[in-house]
Amino acid sequence: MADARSRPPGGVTVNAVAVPARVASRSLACTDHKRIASAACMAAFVFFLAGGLLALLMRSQLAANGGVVSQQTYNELFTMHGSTMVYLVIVPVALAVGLYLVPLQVGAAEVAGPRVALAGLWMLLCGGVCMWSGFLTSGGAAAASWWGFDPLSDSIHSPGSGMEMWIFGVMLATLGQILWAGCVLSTALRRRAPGMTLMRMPVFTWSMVVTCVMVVFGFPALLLALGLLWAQRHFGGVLLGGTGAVDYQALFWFYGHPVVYVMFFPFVGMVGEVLATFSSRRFFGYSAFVVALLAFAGLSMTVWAHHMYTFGVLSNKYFALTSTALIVPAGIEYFDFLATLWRGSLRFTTAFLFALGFLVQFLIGGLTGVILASPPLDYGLNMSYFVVAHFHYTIFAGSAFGLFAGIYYWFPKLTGAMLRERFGKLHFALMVVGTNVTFFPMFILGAEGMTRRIARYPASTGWQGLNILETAGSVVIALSVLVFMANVLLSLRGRRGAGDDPWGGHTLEWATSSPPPRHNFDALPPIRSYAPLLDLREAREEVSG
Amino acid sequence: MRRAAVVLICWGLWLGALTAVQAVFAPKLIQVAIPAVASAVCVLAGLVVWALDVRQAREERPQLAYQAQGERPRLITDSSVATVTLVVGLALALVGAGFGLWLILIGAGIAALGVGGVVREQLARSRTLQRKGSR
Repeated sequence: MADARSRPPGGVTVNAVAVPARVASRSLACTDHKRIASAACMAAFVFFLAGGLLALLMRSQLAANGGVVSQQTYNELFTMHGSTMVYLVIVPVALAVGLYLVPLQVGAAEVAGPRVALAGLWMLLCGGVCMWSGFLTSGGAAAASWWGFDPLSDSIHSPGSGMEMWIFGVMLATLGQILWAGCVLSTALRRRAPGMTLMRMPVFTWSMVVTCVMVVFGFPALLLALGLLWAQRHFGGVLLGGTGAVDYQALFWFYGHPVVYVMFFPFVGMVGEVLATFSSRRFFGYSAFVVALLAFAGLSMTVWAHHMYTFGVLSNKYFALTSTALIVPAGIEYFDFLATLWRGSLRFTTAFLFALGFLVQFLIGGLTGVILASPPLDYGLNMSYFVVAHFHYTIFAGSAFGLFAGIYYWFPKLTGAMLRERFGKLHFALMVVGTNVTFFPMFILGAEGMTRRIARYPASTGWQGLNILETAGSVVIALSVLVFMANVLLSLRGRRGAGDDPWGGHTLEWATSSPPPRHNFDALPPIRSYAPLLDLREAREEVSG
Repeated sequence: MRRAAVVLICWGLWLGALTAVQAVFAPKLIQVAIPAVASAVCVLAGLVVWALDVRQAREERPQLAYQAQGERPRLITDSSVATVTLVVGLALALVGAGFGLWLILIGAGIAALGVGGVVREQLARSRTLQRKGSR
């Protein structure tokens, strides 16, 4: 039992009682948001390794131009690679980091609905196991791509249990994500500490609020789409005629495009925190940033049909308008980032380098998105490797770099140990090289007409050279992941103590111990802005000099 | 009041406004219906949160003196095996939809055990809170 009552001058007392648990249930069924989030991150990392292995197999196939796996196996590989990375890795990690940090950043003793958060974790685990167990079925895993379009995914074109397992797995994982988003959103909106007004919430918390709003109000469309798909497979007559398949796609993309921003906003928030801390400056343009995030989130729920331009069924002009309008809030966010760096006292730590990598590489992904937002250009590039390059630049070169910035920044808070900076910089260098060597040639191949999801291509096209280069790049990425794993293991074994606030952080999580206690805080400092610890430091500096 | 509802209501209205712009472009029903439902549910959720906040503010008014000392005491449960049981049961029942009634029944049985466990945990929690309150 933990009962904490100490009161700093001008601060508030945290008053929480924790009931101890048996050791066995503590690890399997703990309702502490920090443990749930850590378990989710570890599970997602295992899935990331598995999904990465599938990517290496695909790259080997394309480098050799066939002969490694069959066409059917290749279909299963890209389906499970995409499904794993979207449903089991990036989205869960984005939400799990929010689950860990948001209660700490708003000064709450625990997350709202801890049992619900635990249920979310187990749904994710059950969903992942279910999805991957498709490989054990006689017909193999699902092979209808990560979006499972009808009629490719119906019982005629995708017979067998693999597709069924995929549908149930995705449903469970998505349901778990909706539950997490509900918990994080409720915590940010209704569990804030006294003094923590909406406009004093940290940048990362705001990014999680808009993310969770999108998850809660956008993701149910996927559950509905998958429910209809399952009914179509078993009973038929659900997705029929000329509009059935289009209706499925409309429902799917109402999830499928917002999910791209769900895989983006949390990392924008992480990068914002990292840039402000390592520039030793207050985050620039906080209010404009918050408004831009909210506007961005709304707009990103109204662009989904740009994935369906070539159908010519929905209003392309409207979706081209909203897709292009995304540049405005994105521009405000980039301006805020750059202005935060401007005249800052920069510290080039690994976290900071990854944040800079995010800024530069995501820009490439974002600008090529502007090309794809234009219907005439999209007609030429749709289903080509240009699209593959675009989304890998946003999700891997962008979000994954943002995630690693967050990992290097908050790892000391999570574990109480510092990650090795030298290893971290090697990890960063290898990732930059690997990412660009793997994904940049895809723009060229796409522009030359190489289509997605092909296991072989005619030798006369001359694409093999660039494919071999991409495969070499993917091996470098794998190497960088090994360096990261070695860094984590080494840092945990030969611990270098981090202390409560090793970086001079701005937000409340740095006011508690590393790792934080079960009830998060023994005491909170006064909260007078979105950077309460920076306020304290500035006040001390004023007094001392 | 903590004004949390403002976020949901404003964002829901913003999504509604963006959806309404489609009227100019002669949209298909489905492309209007999906975001319209999402925006309506978001506004509705905002109104629910607003009502909860108003009720909470009324309840807490007599306790202002206590509030000044910090937030209300909360009981933090450390683990919930029942929740895990419930989720595993529901997952099995869902997968059973593809594999047969036998798996649905097994899943439903495990889920029922989980529900019982959650109720038991809630009762234990209430008892603990009462004991803490009476001290």
